[in-house]
Amino acid sequence: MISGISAYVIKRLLLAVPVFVGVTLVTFVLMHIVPGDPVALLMEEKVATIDPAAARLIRAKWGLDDPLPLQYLKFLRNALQGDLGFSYRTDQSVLRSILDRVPATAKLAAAALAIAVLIGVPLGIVAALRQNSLFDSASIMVATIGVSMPNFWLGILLIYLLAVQWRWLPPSGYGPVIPYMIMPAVTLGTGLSAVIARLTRSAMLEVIRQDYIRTARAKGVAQGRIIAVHALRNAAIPIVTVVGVQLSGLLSGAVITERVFSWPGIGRLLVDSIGVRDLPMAQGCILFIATAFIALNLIVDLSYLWLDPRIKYR
Amino acid sequence: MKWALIQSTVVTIVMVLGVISPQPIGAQTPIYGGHFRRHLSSDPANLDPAQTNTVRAVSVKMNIFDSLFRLDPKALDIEPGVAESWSLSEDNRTITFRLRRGVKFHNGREMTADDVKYSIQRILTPETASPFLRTFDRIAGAQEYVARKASDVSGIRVLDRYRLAVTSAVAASTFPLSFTQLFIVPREEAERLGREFGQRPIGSGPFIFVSWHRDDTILLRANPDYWEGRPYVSALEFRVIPDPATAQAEFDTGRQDYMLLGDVTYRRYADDPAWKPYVIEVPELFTRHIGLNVTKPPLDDVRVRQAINHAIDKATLVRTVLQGKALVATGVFPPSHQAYTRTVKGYDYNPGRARELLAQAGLASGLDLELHGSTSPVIGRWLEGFQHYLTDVGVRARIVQQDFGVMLDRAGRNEIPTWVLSHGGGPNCVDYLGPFRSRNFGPAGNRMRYKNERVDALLDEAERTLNLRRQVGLCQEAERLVVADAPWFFFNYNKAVLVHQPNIIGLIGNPVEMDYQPMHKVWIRPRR
Repeated sequence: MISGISAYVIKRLLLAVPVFVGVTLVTFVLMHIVPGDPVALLMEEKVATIDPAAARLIRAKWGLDDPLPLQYLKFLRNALQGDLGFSYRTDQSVLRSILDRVPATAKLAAAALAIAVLIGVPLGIVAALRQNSLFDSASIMVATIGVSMPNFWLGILLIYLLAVQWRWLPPSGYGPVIPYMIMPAVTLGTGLSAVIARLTRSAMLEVIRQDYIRTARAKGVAQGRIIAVHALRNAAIPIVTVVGVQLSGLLSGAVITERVFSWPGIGRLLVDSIGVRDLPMAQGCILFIATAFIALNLIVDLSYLWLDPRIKYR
Repeated sequence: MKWALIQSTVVTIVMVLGVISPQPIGAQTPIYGGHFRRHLSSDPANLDPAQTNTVRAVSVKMNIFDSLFRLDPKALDIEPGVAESWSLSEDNRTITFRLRRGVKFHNGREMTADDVKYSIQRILTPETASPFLRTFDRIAGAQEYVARKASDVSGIRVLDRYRLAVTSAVAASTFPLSFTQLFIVPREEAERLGREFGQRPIGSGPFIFVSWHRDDTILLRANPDYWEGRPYVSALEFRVIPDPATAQAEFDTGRQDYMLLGDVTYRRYADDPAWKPYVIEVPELFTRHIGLNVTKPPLDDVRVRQAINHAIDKATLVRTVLQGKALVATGVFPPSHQAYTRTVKGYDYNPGRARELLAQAGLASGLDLELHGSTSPVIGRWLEGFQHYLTDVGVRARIVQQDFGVMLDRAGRNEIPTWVLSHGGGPNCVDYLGPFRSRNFGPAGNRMRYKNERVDALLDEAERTLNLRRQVGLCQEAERLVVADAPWFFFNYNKAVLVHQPNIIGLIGNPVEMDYQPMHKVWIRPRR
């Protein structure tokens, strides 16, 4: 007999199947609707003319002469067998190309999220506890600035100050974790921390006015324990939801930050492949992103069980 | 007639305004060692010589592989590569190459004539789907091989271990030049690695492939057994840095040994006395232009196309928008090309004449025109400049910026009236004029759908002519006709500019492509 949670997880995984089909179909259709011939884009780089005979051979090799429905069905059949094909541009396995970039993307996403949570949650809690104080107003202002700053601008600013002027950090690259990751993680994490701070503040404000908090205070429970055990846990559901969505976004690549810091992540891979109409690579990246979204959403939903035992999945 | 004799008849009209700029530091004894770091704006797709012809890929591959011939960046003429000598048959169709002895692949095996044959046949094999097919499909028997009607290319004959004869189906002046693009691969490694050969290439060049972290770094190390002598630097690292501002920060912090300068950064280094001695510039073999679709009214009227050429003040745009990092175009050939001639004057800025021509074309009240360009901010600035000047003569220009691939595709399909492009056709004048031949209509290069039978005939003749002086003369005559017909707005010739760290010696100004540097001759002076 399958328990409630297991049945729920199985149901969610089965629901993922039409999502995958839909996502790949939409990508496939869009990539074919958008003008731009991948063969011409491959060949035309400061060369005088495109050789029609070579173009024909390349089209045949990539299977572009097949009818579109057949091309899509072939992709689906191969994808079900774990074969995402070979990139038009690099002639490399799509799956391998994506897996090569997962560590860089995951490291950056984790670091940025850690910064966002470590700054955003405490800032939001203090702002809620000191509602309408100078600190509260200042935190709102800082959060607004954080959300408003474009990543590319903050990134370039950090490079100019920390790398060029003060020579504290390398300007860009994917090297040893600490020196190379600080600037991109701060760039990505700053905006997110502002969002998390605002959300934490409003969630905490709602919770700390509840009767059980007042009761805890009346019983003489220490303020720290009230916040950590009683208030934050109850305020956590909206925060975890947003963090989950943002982590999904980070795993799908932070194109601008990756570009500014020459970070070899999924975002650049996806954008570059769309630019040259590298359909297999773009399909592969989008499948990866869809998988990340579905998995993280499921994890977030399951985390509600721990955060609030009253929640039951059937 | 021996090819060497033809070479001796070459009149190098050249042209090159500082092809090889003097190095700021005088002659010194080169020092071995050091790690040379340079960057690429994006990751090369592949490093298989049969697979990619992009600048990024070639600037890496040329260090890993050897070609039969090299292109001398000073004279833009052939010089020996792994072929130490060659001769041309009486009928000008067969080249016999003699390979150097003792050239070794990075796996230790000696290169032989069989490897050369294999490398050509590999490009011609349909499964390879090589973009270089056209370069070699004129070899006798190549078409049959490509069509799978023959198992061997009859025009390639291995005479002995070190000699090889290659016969062209037709006598063509560009034939010897093809072999500057032929990188030789070791058969056993190409077959063993298959698709992976493009990711882990093995050649015979001055540097040996070490590692490739996609979108991050490519690392090569010096080949101690290189036939031309061990390279001075011990390692060569290519970093992929897509953002120009980041690349500049890397250079300014001394983590890159040279960088190419764009319009925005050019003045900062060229005008700075501290950096000026380390700036190298050369007019590139590229012609920036607006393609004018001669089938789309009113651009089908030559007077309208000429009016557009007179309407825009190129000199001011080059001085202001391009910060002087270009030369005003007078025709198709840039000053570093051997077919460049000062006698082609092009179109001066003359708005009065432009209005007059439009009035003669029945467009005295003006006309509407779409100006198409890619989404690059640089192109956006150009388009705004064009729009300003065209408005002045009554051309109501509407700017349409779109993805580069979309624009190229639509131009190829005859859907748009204009497009901004940079054309690079290499050192041979017939190749350079390729986009004006009616055989190349559409995506093959002639997106303007321009047809002038005299131009076609001149270029056909030039292609068959092996006497370089005569060939250049024919190309120049064709160029004059093209300029008069104005299927382009002839805008400017880019100046390729690089700035290097003061302790780097041996970089050159290469008009073919600034990133094609002879890295095995570059050395690093230890910083004091």
